[in-house]
Amino acid sequence: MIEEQRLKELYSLYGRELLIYIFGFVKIKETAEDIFHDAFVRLIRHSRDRAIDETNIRAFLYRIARNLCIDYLRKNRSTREMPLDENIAYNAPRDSEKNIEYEELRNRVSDLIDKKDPVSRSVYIMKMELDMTYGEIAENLGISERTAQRKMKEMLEYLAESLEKYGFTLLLLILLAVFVFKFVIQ
Amino acid sequence: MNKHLTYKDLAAYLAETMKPVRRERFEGHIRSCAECRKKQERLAAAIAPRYQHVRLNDSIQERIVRSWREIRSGETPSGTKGLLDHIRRYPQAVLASSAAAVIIVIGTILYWPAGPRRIAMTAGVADMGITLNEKPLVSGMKIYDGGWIRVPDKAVTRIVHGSIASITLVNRSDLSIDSFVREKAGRIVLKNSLHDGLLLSSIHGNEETISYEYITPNARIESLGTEFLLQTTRGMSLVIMKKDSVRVTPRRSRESIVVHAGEKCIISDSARIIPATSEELAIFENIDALRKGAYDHLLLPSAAAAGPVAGRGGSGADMSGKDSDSSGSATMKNDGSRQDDGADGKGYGREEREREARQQRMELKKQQMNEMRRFNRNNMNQQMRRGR
Repeated sequence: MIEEQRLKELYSLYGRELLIYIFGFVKIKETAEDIFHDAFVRLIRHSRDRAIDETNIRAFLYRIARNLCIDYLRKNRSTREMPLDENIAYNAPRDSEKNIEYEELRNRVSDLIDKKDPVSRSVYIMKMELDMTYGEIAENLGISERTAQRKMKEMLEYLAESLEKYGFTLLLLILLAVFVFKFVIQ
Repeated sequence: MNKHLTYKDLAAYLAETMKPVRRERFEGHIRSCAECRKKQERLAAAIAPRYQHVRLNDSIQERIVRSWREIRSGETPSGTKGLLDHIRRYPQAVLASSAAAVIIVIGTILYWPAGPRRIAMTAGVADMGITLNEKPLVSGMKIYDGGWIRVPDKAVTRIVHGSIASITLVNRSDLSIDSFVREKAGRIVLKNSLHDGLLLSSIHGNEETISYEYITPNARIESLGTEFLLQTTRGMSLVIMKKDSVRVTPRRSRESIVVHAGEKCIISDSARIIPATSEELAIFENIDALRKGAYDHLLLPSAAAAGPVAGRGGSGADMSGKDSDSSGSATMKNDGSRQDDGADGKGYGREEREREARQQRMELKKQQMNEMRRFNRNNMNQQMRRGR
C-alpha cells in the first residue's frame, strides 16, 4: 500500500493541476473537491490491492479523475447544478467593462466546450488551463501526440466558428431590437 | 497571404500546430489586417485560461490522509499471511465459522442425496439409422430415462451400464427407458418398455444390487437372473432364457410364472412354457446371424415379415382375447419352429400397434372403473340396509 509520505508528495506534485482539470469538467467547487478526494481514495485502494506503476502514476490519476467526472456528469445530466456565487472565487476578477464583455464570451466558450467529447475536453483543459505540451497530454490521456494535436485543432476550429455565428446572431438581434424600437413602438 | 484568415488558420495558430513558415506569414497578415487581428484577439481572449485561481486547501489534504488511514486500518491482506493475521485478530470468529462449516459438511453428507439419482446407460457400437428420441444415436452417447431408442431393420446396437447391464437391440426394435435410477442405498432400478422388436438382455447382480423389469404390450417380465432374449410383436411376446430365471406376468391373466434357464415362454393372453432347443440357445452367441435373419424361423413372426397392414382384423388372437395357438394368426410348435397361416399375411404398422396398445389400456381402465362402481354400489346398498 502506498506510503503516507508518498501520498503527500503526489498531492503536492499533481494536486492543483488535477483539481483544475476536474473543475474544467464539473465547474462546481464542492463537487470538484469531492471528485478530487475520490480520485485519491481510488488510488489508495488500488495500491492496497496491487503494486502501482510509479512511472505512470500521473496518467493513472488523470484517468481516474476523468472517469469520475464522466460518471458524475452522466448521473446529473437532468439536474445540472449551476455554479454558486462562492464558486466565483475560482474565476478571474471582473474589474473592468472589457473584462465583463470577455467574461460573457468565455461563458459562451465554456458552454460550447461542454458539448464536446471527454477526450477533446481533456485535451483543451490540459493545453489551455494547464499549459501542458502535447507530449504530456498524450501521455496523460493515453493517446498519441498527433491525436492530441488534432483534437485541439478541431476544438479551436469549432469554437472560432461557433463564436463567429454567435457574434452574427447577436448583431442581428441588436438590429432587430433597434428596428422594433424605431418603427413599431414609436 | 492577401485573403482574410480562415477558422482553420486561426485554430492552427492558437493550437500551436502551424509550421514555422506558415506561422510567419500568418503573423505578418495579422499585423497588416485589422479585421483578422480583431478576430484573432477575440478568440484568444475567449479561450484564455479561466481556472488559474483554483487553489488547493489544507482541508482536502486532511480528508485524503484521513481516508488513507481508514483504508489502512480496515485493510484485509491477502494470502497466507493475511489468513494468519485474521486468525490472530479474530480467533473466536474463525472458530465459530469453522464449526459452522463442519456442521454444514456433515449435514450435506448425511442428507444428500435425499432421493434416487438419475443414472445413464451408454450407447456402444451403433449401426446407421438408429435414433434416440428422434435424433441419430452415436456411439458413446448417454441415455437417461425418458430415452426412446428406435432400431431400423438389419441394425444392431448395444447399450450398457458399466459391467452391470447390457441390452442388445436387434432389427426393428422400439425400446424406451422408463426409469433408470440409483437409490440412496445404492440399488439400481431399471424399468424398460419394449414396444416392439427384439432384445438380448444381460444383467448381472442380485436383487439387492439391481431391480429391473421389462414391460411389453401384453406382459411384465421381472428379472430374477441374468441373460435372456425378449421379443414382442403383434401383441405376443417371447422369452428365451439362457441363464437364471425371469418372472413373467401376462396382463390379462395376471398369473405369474417363472421361466428358468433352458426354457422359453410364449406370452399372449396367458403364458406357456416349453423347453428351448439348443439352436434357440445358440442365438445368444451369434448376434450377427440374428440380425441377418438366420434365426427368424425360431422367433415370432415380425410385423414387417408378415407384410403390409390390411386392417385391425389382422391383430389375431391377442386382441380378440384368445390364445395364440388357437387364433390361427401364428402358431408356435413345441420344437420352436414357426408355422404361418393365412392370417399372417396381414402386417401391422407402428401406428396401428400403438393404437391397439392404447385401446388395450383403455379397456383395462374401463374394467377397473366398472369394478369400482360395482364395489361402490354394493357398499351403498349395504349402508342403506343398515340405515333401515
